[in-house]
Amino acid sequence: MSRKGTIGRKEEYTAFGMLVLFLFFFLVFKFYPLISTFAISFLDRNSLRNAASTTFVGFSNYRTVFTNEATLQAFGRTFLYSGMYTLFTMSTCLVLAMLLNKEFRGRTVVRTFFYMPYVTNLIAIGVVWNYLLNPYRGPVNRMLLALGIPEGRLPLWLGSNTSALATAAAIHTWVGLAFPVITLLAALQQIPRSLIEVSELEGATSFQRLRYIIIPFLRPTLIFVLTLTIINSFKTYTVIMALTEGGPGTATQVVSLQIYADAFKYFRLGVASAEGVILTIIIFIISLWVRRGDNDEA
Amino acid sequence: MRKHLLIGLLVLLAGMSLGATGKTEEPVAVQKPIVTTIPLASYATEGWYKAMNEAFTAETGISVEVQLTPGNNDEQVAKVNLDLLSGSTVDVIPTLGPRDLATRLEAGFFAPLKAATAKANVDVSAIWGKYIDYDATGEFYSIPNKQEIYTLYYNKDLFDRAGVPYPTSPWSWADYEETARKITEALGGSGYGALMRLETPHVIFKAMQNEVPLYKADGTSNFDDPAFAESLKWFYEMGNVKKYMMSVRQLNAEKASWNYWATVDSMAMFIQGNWFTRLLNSPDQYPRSWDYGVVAIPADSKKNNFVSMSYASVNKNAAHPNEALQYVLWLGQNQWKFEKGIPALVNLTEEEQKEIFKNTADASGGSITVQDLNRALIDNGLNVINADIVGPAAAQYNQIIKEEAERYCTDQQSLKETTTRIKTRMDEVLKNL
Repeated sequence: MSRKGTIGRKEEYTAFGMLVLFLFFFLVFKFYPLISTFAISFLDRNSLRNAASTTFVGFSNYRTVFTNEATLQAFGRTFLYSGMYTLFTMSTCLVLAMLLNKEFRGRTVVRTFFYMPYVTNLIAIGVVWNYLLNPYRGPVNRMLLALGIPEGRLPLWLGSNTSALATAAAIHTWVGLAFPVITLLAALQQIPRSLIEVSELEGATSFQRLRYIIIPFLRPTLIFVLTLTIINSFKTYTVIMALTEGGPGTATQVVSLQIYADAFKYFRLGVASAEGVILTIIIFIISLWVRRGDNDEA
Repeated sequence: MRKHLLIGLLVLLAGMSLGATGKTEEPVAVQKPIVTTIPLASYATEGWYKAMNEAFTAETGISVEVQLTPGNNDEQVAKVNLDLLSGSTVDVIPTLGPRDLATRLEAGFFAPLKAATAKANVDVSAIWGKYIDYDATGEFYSIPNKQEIYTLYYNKDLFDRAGVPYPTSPWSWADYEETARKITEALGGSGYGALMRLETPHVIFKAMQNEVPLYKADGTSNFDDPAFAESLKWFYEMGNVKKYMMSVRQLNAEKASWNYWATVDSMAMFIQGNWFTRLLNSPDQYPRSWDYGVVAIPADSKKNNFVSMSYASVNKNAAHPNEALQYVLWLGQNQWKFEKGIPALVNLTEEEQKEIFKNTADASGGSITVQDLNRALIDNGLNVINADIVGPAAAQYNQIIKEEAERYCTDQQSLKETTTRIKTRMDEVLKNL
């Protein structure tokens, strides 16, 4: 056996050895629950009494999901939330990353501050935003009042069915902005300085630099950030729980909250699992579509 | 240098491990009897709860290990149910209200107590009588430890400021509304005459008080009964139109639990279970600047008041079933003394009956008397009915009413749409049971 082959095999063993721990946790905490959820979605586990039932009910739980108005509305709301969150995040993260990429005094401090919401407890964030946006006594509306906006026209923020979802999406964007910004910032710093300088010498405008140099260079990172943003938006739970608990009424009741309620409040484990499987499929299809779009473009 | 430091650290750790393992050579102490329980976190942090368990330990020699479950009541119930579902061996399960008790009984979480109490020579019918929740076969799975009877608390200072006489029972809902109006108007924006929250029975108070059934004989939802629409409309108008109480939108913005309202000095009247007296009598924990009074709740055609029972049961998988039974029986007879609540006992001596309200009145610092409490809670001319929705999918019914009533009260839908949606959604749930 050649020396090269021995070294290669050793490397393989090392690689497998290092992956074993990950594989173990992946199988136990991700793969098994996924398969389990899929299996439960076909079982009659829809009450505490039947929580361990093994009675096969075919697609009955899926039928319940697709015929239940409240659940369908929750899915619709999730798409709307996802659209807003993705739009807010993608439109701001690139701009902010480019601003933070510029040389200015105190840049490190600003970057650190940027990361703070990301590492702050979400419940604390919920409490603070609820206080700030209290439509009747909150500082934001008091400020708007001082600026001359009549009391009857002050926004209700999280208290109104028309603005609650958008407000929650905006706060979620603020909370999660650090990761995409830092990721894009790292990618921006990989762009060769010489390219930018040449474009400046050639008289390219800022927009042309963005269109023909920065965006193409950032494309893989942007697709990565976009995919993660969409996935996060569909999975969102804690932020909405901390802000509105799904209210007012059902104005912010997204699918993840519906799944939690069905599973752990009403113990409709079969229906909740079916909802979970459908959500997973939706996320998978959208992620695939985004990646495929990227490949086609490439 | 770094290598030496690392070696030194490893040697130190090894030495500490050896030291620790050396302890196993000591004789193993005889394990003391224990019982484990899983109460609502807010209870477990209150002084009376600790004192109660200490008294139990002093009397029986059994230590009580408390497993804290954070969250509000709904969250706690969900967590405990999940814990029980996964085979938890915690010994004693407290349950607040018949709705959650029914769910847990249906799930078969509890050990039967009939034979066990007979074996322990405890005559449950002589002690708890009508309060025991027997099933059709005469078996029972829980021991009641208190009753939460609804009453109306009022802020005497706000009544005085408004120049309105304190309410007296019997009185009607029209009297209540008129009182709320006078106070709200007199306070001129600095407070409200009433406080009612987006929860059952508050949102459909009148319908529930008048015993309008929530289910039809055929098992479907009865929410198309006009009585529910009337109740909802009244609740809506009190907050949104007449503004004698905070609207649901205002309440949502506050995001406050009931405990918060024990400290606020801008609500003149609010209806709550008698547990609330404990908060009002704990100024250290719930500081307030006002004096309070109690009176029986208003009633119209049917003279009913709401009651919610509280129970303790032995987990069928309990690690210490004998100790658990002892604890459950003890709680049933003694919890009220520590919590200053109303027991669910039929064998109270005359002295004990006096004691029920005496301690509470004494702790109120002169705000209320034994007579006030007796008139408000017991000798009030009202029958007692269940404060909970009890029936198939009761938890979902409760949640659907809350969600749809919230949509109505925040002007997202009409009253007609609200009652229709509640009925439609609930019928769908019931159909899929």
